[in-house]
Formats: sequence, structure tokens, C-alpha cells
Amino acid sequence: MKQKEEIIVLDAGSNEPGIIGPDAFCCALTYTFFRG
Amino acid sequence: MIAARGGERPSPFFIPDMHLSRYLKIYPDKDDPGRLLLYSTTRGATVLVPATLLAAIEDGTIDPADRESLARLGFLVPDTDAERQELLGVFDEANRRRRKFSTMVILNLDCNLACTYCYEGGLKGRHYMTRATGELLADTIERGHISRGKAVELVFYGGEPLMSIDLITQLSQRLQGAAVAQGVGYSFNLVTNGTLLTAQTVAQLLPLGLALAKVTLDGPREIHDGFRPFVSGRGSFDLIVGNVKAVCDTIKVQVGGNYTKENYREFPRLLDYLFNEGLTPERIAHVQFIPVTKSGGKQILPEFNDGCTSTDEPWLMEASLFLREEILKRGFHTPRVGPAPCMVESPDDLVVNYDGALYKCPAFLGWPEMATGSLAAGVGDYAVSHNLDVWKKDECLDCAYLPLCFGGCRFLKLLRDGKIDDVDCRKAFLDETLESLIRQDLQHRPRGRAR
Repeated sequence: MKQKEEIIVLDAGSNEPGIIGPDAFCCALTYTFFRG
Repeated sequence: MIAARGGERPSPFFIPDMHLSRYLKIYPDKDDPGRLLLYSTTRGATVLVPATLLAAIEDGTIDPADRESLARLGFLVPDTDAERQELLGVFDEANRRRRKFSTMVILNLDCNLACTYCYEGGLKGRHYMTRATGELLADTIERGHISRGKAVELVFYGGEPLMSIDLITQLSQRLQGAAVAQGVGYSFNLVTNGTLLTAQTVAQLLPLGLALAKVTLDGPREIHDGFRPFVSGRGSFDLIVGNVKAVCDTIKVQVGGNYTKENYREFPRLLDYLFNEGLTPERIAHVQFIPVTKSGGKQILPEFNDGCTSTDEPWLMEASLFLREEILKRGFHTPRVGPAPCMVESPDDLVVNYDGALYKCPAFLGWPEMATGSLAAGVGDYAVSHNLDVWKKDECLDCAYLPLCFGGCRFLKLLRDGKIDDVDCRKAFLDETLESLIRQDLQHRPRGRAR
């Protein structure tokens, strides 16, 4: 039962919220204009 | 990674109340009805929690260690109104901290391919950035950025940038020298069709700062060669794949591809082909397929009208998930789901056209009214023309998806409606796809790894 109460971190994500991403030309998810 | 509970329980009198962030999504855990999957759109973090935890947060009985873990990951905040307010200024803060200047340089609008959907389409021709314009660009970067201690990353784009290799060399020699003198970094990437990306060319450009090349393969050979033939009509697929094999152990190579509603289901055959040719995930920096979009503006090709203009097209949701799954399950890298602000939001992201005109996104080339200035005159005020505050309204600030979207793509809004008078809302798309995208990342990537 103790196991069920745990918080399981599956992905810690980024600890720098709001920083422009590594590929700043990449629009969210599917669209990008970093294209050739 | 498992965040263990336990430890000393601090006195509750000294711990402020914490509340669920408004920028998170909650999904049921398919394997255990007693658990919930929480995803923070500000951090891109994902946790599994007991379903009872939400009530414990509400009534303040949450274990302090859990509270600390969830706050650290962005799921709990002391004040949801303050969090909302903080998001309004998120780019001001990010831009203040940024120490890198990035410019996409359109070296020419010439090309040795004749792609059927070319985004530069009607703009194409023997238009090349002159040496004088290149010098003006280098002056601007040296004075405005390197001298202020900023690292510089250029992205050479076209047309076909490798048809301007002399200018790449000239610019890089000068900027690399200036950067070294100032003690900052200089590097450049290429967005190239790949046909001229030979081992010899890479060897020539590597000492000048070449770090990465993005090439385009539009599916398996017969589809790619139909969409991206040489001007002569000959296919380009085999030459590009051969070049990628020759250089991918020297520089990072990204493989992109543009799909349509009719052909996206064929793209997994390209992945299998690459794999069988030895172009395995260890040798390819990342793979990402995107839908062909209409280009609009002056560059639109009258004979090509298949591109999409919205994320809301139902086939696109299916195609995005399908192709991402096919990429990930073969072990190739592809961008994670997470905050991905548009370059419009950063003054340190710029596009310089071959003639010295400045833009905030390469998609706006061909829309002269969207130019934001010139190398000679500097960057003008584009807050109104690009509607920079378009997402700073209650509807968006109260939307859990805002950190993934920030108003969506201004270009697509302009393309659809002829004006950027509102956001390009991604809610319908994310309602339909985000949970699956998160589960793809969880299934195919090492757990607990911070981005």
C-alpha cells in the first residue's frame, strides 16, 4: 500500500522554465520553420 | 527516478499553502485507476501520483516532502495569480538572461533543386547576398553582440546556402576571429538540401565553426525524388543519403522531412532505409517530420495548393502522432514535448535576408510588410505588426497549454486570415494529442532525465 502513495517522477523536465529552447526556430510541437 | 517520501516532517505552521499550478494537465493512469498522470506545461515534467493526493493538496494535508517535490517540479505554486503574472513576464526574464545571439542568414534564393512545394517558390532566382551586405552583417554582429560578450550562432539558409560557400567562409573567418578575441563562442549551422554537403565541404567548414547541418528527405526514394528533384529532373535522394553517411560522424546531422496528407504513411520506410544503410540513431542527431504548409505571400507557387494552414486539421493530429511514434520506436531522437517559444519573442533571434532586410521568422520572407528593418537602418518596432502581446489575455493566461503555445504561429494566422489579430489557438490540437505525445516520451525515453 505504501508504494501506491508514492509520487513517481517519470520526467523531471527542465529546471529552467521559460528559457528559449535549444532550437528557437522550432514552433511548438509540429510546426517548424527551421526547414530546408 | 523515484522521489522517496519521508524525512523529517517540518511544522506545518511554517509552510505556506501551496496550490496546483494552473499550467498542468491531469490524465488518468491507464494501468492503475488509483493514480493520476500529471504533466507540467511550464517545466515539461511528468509525475504519477495517487488520486487521493489532489484532495490532500486542497485541504492542506499533503505530506511536506511531497509538497516540496511537486513544488520543485512546477506542479505546486504558492500563489496561482502570481504564477499567472510571472508568465506574462517570462520572455523579459529569459531574454535578460540570454547570452547568445542567433541569426538565420538567407545567403541566396538560388537552388539546384526544383522542389514542387518550395517555400521560397516565386521568390527564387539568382539573388545572392553581396560581399558588402555580408560585411554590414558582420559589422552589426560584432558591434551589437560580440562586443557585449554574447556568443553568436548563425544559421545559414537559402535557397541553398552551400551555393554561397565563399560568403560562409568570409563571414565565419571574420566573426570567429572577433569572437575568439572577445572570449565568446562562434558556431554556425546549415539548413541545406544536402546535395552539396560533401565530406570535403564539411572538412573545409569545420574549423570555421560548422556544428550541425539539417538536411531534408521527404520520405522514401520515390516520394522524395518526386518532390525534391534536381532542376534537371534527376532524383536527389541517393546523393543526399550518401553525403549524410560521409559527414554524420564529423558534424551533427538532423534529418527533416515534409509530408502531406497523401504520403505521410510511407515515411516509416525512409526510417527503415536509413537504419539499414547504417544511419542509425547514434549517427543522426534527430529526426523530425513536419507537414508541408502553404507558403503564401509573394512566394506562393500557383501549382501547389496542398499545404495545410492549421494544426486543427484532423488528419494532421493523426499524422503527427503516427510519425513521432515511428521515429521514437526505432530509437531515433526527436524533440520532446515542452515549452517551445517562437523566435518572435526574442530580440536576439533574427532573420537577415540576402538583401539585408530583417525579419522575425523565415516564414515571413515574401511578406514585405512583415519586415522589421534592415541591416543599414537597424531593427524597427515590430510589436504591433507581429502583435507581440496577442496571447496576453485572460483566455490564454487561464489556459493550461499556454507555455506550450504562447499564441501559436503568427505566420499561420496571417496565412489563414490575412492578419495577426488573434492567436493561432492550439487548444483543439493539444486536447487531441498532448496525452499521447507525453506517453510516447515516457515509453521511448529514459525515465527521470532532465532535459
